[in-house]
Amino acid sequence: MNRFWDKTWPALALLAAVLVLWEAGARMLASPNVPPFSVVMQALATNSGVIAPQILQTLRRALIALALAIITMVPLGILIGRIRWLGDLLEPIIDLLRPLPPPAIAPLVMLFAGTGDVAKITVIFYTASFPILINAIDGIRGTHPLLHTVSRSLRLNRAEALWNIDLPATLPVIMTGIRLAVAAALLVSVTAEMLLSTDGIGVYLLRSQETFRIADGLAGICVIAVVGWMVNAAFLEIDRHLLHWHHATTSE
Amino acid sequence: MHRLRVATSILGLVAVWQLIVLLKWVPDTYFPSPLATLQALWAGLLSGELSKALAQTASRALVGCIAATVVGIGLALLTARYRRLRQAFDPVAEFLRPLPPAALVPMAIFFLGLGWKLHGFILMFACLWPVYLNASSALKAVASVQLRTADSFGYGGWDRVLRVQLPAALPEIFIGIRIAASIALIATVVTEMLAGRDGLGFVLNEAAMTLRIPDMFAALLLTMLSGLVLNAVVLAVRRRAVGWHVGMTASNRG
Repeated sequence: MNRFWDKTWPALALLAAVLVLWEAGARMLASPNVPPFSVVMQALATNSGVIAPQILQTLRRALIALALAIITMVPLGILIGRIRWLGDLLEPIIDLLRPLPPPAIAPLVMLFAGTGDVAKITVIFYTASFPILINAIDGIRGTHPLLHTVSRSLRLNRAEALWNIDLPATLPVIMTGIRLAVAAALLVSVTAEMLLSTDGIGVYLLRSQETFRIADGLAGICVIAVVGWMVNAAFLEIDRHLLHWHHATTSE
Repeated sequence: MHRLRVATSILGLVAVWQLIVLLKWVPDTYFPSPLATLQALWAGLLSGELSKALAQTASRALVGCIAATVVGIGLALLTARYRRLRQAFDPVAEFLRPLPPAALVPMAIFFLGLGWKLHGFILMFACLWPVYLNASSALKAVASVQLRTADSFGYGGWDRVLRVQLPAALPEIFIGIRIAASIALIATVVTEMLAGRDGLGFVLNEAAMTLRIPDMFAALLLTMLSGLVLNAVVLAVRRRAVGWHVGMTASNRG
């Protein structure tokens, strides 16, 4: 407990200093553009009924898109990594599309899918696909050659070898890709809502701006920060549970 | 051989694109042919609309990336030198990192207006964390043999940080810079789309809203190309700065 305290007090001290500075600075400025921290917290309390359903909408879309990306991109990555001509054909295209900023495709998606759920999920799906796909390709190619020999001497057929040997061996790398995809999906889901606005926390922020409710908007940003941090922490925990055997062998 | 393969698959992509247009799978008002897109690109570059937007977006992303790199590495050196500072700052960085830069745009407009201050703030916020967190963990992970060697040479304090830890951490620091470079372009384009008066993001949005679809495709193509160029620039800088490392390990894959 003491060691824990010794490590955490500097962070708490910095946090307290920032909040006190914010509160005091805003009260001294007394400008309607700079609400003090206490006012933002009040806004958070009064608006929580509005913010909660919006952030749930955002999370719902992000998770659907993420699930779609995992279901499609892990098998595709394994195929690209294993089948030579497919890799030769598709990898240059992946390298070409990767640097394109995902929100930039929002106007294009809008032409075909409008501004509803489908459009936003498409943009998030596109974003989340790349880290998963690239890590799946690299992971399956990086499996130890000895594992091949093992699966041959066990007389496994191709499907059995893939399921029992290649997939577990690649899983740590794929999980890293999924964690990157989670972070990217959260970032882009808010952005997509702001560009293709119908509902979600991104739209809440835009409305707060348009009606000059600055404290409400800042409260929304606080909620996004907390939720984003929690989702990332949750996936880190899933990773630890799923791959305890891997972490046990590498952390020593 | 590698170039030939790349050329083949890109040609294949263009062929599929042309085929979709020819077979009218999608209405061609929404999906112009490759040739129409190239024509729109050429016309936009000549008229100055696209070339000006490209210059604005590229210079913003580049300046933002360089500024975030300098600030991020500076902060990481400070926290590597002073342990308490790192304990204070790292949790804050971990907490702020998942915040989408786009979410800050509407509120930041109130404080910073629509000009360069807004772009600067959003870019710094978006690019600082990958640079700082990579640099900080790389500086922390320098092998203890190297640190003890430094001790026995009598290096302490800043000497140790700057002359032993920094060079040893440089390869990993560049990973953060590469991530920051791609994020810089994304953040620039998003800010231009949400609050812009100019730049590729603005042109992209405006062309879509006014249904000038070939122009939109041209802007999209140009955004993609600037991403490729930005990535190549960072890789070239990395080769000059840490070429010794790339030569030592085999992991020099793009």
